[in-house]
Amino acid sequence: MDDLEPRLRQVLARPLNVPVVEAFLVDVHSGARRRQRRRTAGLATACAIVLLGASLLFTGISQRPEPQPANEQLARIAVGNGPCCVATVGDSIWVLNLRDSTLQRIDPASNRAAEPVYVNAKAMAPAGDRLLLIDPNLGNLSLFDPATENIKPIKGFASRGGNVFDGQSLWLGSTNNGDLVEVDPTSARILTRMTIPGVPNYDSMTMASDHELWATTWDGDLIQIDLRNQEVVRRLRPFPEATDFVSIVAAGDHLFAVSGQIPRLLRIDQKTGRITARRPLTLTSPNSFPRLSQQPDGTLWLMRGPDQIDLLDPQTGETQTTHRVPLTNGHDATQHFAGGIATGFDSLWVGVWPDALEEGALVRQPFSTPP
Amino acid sequence: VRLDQGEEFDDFVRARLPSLLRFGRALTGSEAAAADLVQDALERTLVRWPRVISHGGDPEGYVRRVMVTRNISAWRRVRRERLAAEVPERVCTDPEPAWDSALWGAVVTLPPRQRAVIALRYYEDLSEAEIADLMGISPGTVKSQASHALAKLRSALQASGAQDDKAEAN
Repeated sequence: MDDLEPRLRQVLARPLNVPVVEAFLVDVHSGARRRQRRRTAGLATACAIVLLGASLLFTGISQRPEPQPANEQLARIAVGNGPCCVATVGDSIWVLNLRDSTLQRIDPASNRAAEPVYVNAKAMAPAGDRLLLIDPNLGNLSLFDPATENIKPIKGFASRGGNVFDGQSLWLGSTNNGDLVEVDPTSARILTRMTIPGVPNYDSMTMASDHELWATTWDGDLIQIDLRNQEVVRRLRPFPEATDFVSIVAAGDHLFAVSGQIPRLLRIDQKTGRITARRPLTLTSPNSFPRLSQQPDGTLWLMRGPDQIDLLDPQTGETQTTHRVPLTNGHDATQHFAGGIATGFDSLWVGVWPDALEEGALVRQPFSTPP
Repeated sequence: VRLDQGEEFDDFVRARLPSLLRFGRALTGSEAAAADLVQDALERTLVRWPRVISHGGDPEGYVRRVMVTRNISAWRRVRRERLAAEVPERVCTDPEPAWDSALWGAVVTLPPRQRAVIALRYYEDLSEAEIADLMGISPGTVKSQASHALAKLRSALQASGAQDDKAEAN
């Protein structure tokens, strides 16, 4: 152990020149008044535009625009604080509220949310007919059975990192070392435990076939692993400049990867490891990371911000449809975090996660899985 | 929002301004930028003050959250403008007397998100889960950001130590 951490505490807390507080307060009050005036003026302009539009519509001058199906909202359901993760299991939608550490069941028939249940988890992922719950403080993992609402801890393995469900088993990678385990989601028992030489830790994971796993490490490596032979097949570094966040999804013959540092989407040929397409991404909020999500129905999604979600062609990576999600009144995308998404019941379900002062919501939009 | 309800807000600022400025300095790397960032965050907080104090009453947590997000937004805007520039990022040093200047010089060259994690961890003493909550990222990302940041700092300090040794030898 070196002395870096105590030195850091000292250097960050060292004295500084504090401005005269009363003068500072005058500036703050004056700035706040300006902001309030601008906001009021903006609202007045918006009202004027709405009234003008309404009057034009009434007099028949204006053509009514065609409704955009991807913007249509079927329901907006109040949920807890921080709906970071959404999943479809059985006859329900499940939402994990990160700030409350609660789980909520949504009935798609009535669009009603059940009372939240405290589960001491801050992340969730679907695992067949179970839900994987992750407690980041200790790295504790457990499996929630939506049918009985029982929780079974996964004993003998802790991680805050990668997880992927291959259709039968849940694969969990350790964030601290190279341990990789296969878990039976029903019993929560560890079936296989292995260490792949050359893989120091696991961040994002995706399954390409029943024995081919792709994983990212915290060093920015993208690694293809043969689970049968327990060896690294290929090691790539698709974002040479990025080390902080990579989201990956395997779809068909391709692997799609996004990075947050310089936002772009890459399509990689799984057989050759070559990058076959690059696409720069425009994010709707500079505070958001782009994120890929593959749903159990096979659809591939790209979150470009809390209010914009693209359905991607799983072959080309091109955007097929863009879903625009209405946010909380008066707040733009920069004042929201990107919530979780799920498909099911002819709908796209999107967690709307405003800052700490607002309760979250689950927005339901029409969506049918392409044939 | 009634701005004349600001007595409680003023008391809060008087009590917490030095701490917020230090946190701002850790985020931005300079005292001047910290003052701008804190003022911006406090203006936004004042506009929403009644709501800020009516939800569990953690105004400082709210201000910190605004500072983190505003600082990263500002950095991204600047970064987009400078993507084509060939001049490498230069260390910004405060005019104040150097104090563990090697470490501070390394801290200010960290990317803003990593610097935010470091500031929240080592100045605000928040846990990984609390940082994840505040920044809206996963705890795993917090851990990786902190790990990368510490590795960069160690590497920078080693390089700086090697340079000092060389200078001494000469």
